[in-house]
Amino acid sequence: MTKRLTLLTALTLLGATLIGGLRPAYGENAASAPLPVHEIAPGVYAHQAPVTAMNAASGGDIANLGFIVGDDAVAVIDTGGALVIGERLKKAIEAVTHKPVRYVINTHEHPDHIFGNAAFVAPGVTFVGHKNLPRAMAERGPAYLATWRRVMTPNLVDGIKLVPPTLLVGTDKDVRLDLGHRVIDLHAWPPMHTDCDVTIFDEKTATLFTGDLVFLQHVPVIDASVLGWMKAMPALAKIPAKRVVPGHGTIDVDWPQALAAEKTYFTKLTQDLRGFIARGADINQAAKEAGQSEASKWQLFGIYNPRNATAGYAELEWQ
Amino acid sequence: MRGWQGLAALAAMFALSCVTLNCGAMTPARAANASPDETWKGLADALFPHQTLTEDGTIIKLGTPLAAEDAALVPVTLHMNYTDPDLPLNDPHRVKKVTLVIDQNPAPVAAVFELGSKAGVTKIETRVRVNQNTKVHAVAETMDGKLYVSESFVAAAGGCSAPGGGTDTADGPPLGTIRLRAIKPEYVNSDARRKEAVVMIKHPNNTGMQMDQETHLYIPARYIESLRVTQGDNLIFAVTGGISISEDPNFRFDYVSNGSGEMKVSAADTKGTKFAKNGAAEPAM
Repeated sequence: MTKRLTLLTALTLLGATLIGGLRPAYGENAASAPLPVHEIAPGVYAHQAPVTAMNAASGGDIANLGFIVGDDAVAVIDTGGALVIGERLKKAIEAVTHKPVRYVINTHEHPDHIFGNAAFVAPGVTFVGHKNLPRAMAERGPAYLATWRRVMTPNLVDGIKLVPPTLLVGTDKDVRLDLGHRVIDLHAWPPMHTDCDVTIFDEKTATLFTGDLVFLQHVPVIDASVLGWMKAMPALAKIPAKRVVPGHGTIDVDWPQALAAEKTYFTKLTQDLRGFIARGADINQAAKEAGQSEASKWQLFGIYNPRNATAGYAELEWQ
Repeated sequence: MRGWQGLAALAAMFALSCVTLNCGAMTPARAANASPDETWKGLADALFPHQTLTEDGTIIKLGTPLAAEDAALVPVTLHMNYTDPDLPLNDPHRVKKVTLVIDQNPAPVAAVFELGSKAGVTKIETRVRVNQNTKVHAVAETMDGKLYVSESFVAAAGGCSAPGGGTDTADGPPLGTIRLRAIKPEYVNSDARRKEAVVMIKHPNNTGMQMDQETHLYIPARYIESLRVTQGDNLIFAVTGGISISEDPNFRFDYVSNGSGEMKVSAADTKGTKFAKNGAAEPAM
């Protein structure tokens, strides 16, 4: 129900401490090499990014990306957190197929998923996203870019453009894209991780790209509605996928078991928050303590759990 | 009465935002060429001309997180006379008014609180939007007309353009819904007369920097500009707010009960819509 900025504060702090001290993880050669991808099912490729905070050291590569190759064309799923990541993904595509990229799908608005878009801008390429995505990009894109300029090295900011989708997916009707004897189904979700989440289902191999509706290892980030996320989870679990690629964490995992960890986290977090609200604890205490029993199960917990708890407190206070 | 009223505060707020901030620009021009201290000096001179601001944590103490967990929802706590909550209500050191200033926000004056002379309020917690790294100031005026200041710093980014909620879901209560939540006394303290409550009002508090998803036009600012809480006819506090107050404005405060048992909340937004709720604060859920 509420939608807020995420990432930025944590980025600011991390960036401030890391930017001076650490060198980018990629040397000159790696900086332009094709992004490593795995063919997890015939014609379905995924890149597993490290689970780490976004900063100069992680080089814009923190979100899982992928592409699906049909008989006629390729659909790209998310483009990374820097133009150079998008370009490296493009090279990875060119290394396995000569078919043209026809669609670039952004699973949601966050910069680690959309800042490589400009690498794919070309005649014949259509950008696709949730009907709310153009608004989200327009509202928050400039703030995301400003943060990037602060925390990233210039080479990771250069060339980033906000490229909004022109083919929009409404929550009332899926969009089906035909790549040539291969149909992928795009579903737009109500507010969950963000208010512009889209999932991509490859019918041929029953592979589901969940975007950030599934987090593994990386603690889930709630940027729209924890209650909405929990409410929509049964519908998400019903998608008849054989394997999924989450937005963060291990790729090619079983379904719907991949949902179990975050479901437990949301359950604990909301239970704690309800308890704090009922007892009269204030939002500051909730930010520090809610959900802490889950801390050992997740990475980046110290950065994102307090913000999840803050936003969740405000949401649950109205229940 | 010394100092200025809420309307003057709002006028000052807009004057400041237009003169020094290039009117609504998201990146204030001054940020590039004024140091945080110079920015505050400029604000203080405009808001409290020719007056001395003294730091004294026993009179006013501002509590903010070092870094905003969520820039659109940054908890801010004002502690007034908190080392001596039982100070006589007419003591010259009693705080009667607090101005909350978020220096680097597009409209720096976030809120002006007027405290009821019989309510003994020592704490008000609210939630604000913070647009970028900023100093935050709380300036208290005491019964004797003196001004005291407390300063903190918050690291944050982008809170003013974070979208308001409710654009896509009809799940929540309707705009204008007011809820009064009593905090269980055992959680507050042992003083039977001192109570704590939360007043919350469902309202997008649009900043005017959020874009409508259908039209791609910016949604005009519409926010709660005044809210008043009384027990019986006695004022607990009144607040004049601006766009820096978060969506669904939320005020948690303590007060000394006058035994009337009934609380009244009235509020108005910039569109002229009025909201009200009378009744006992709901017990905790």
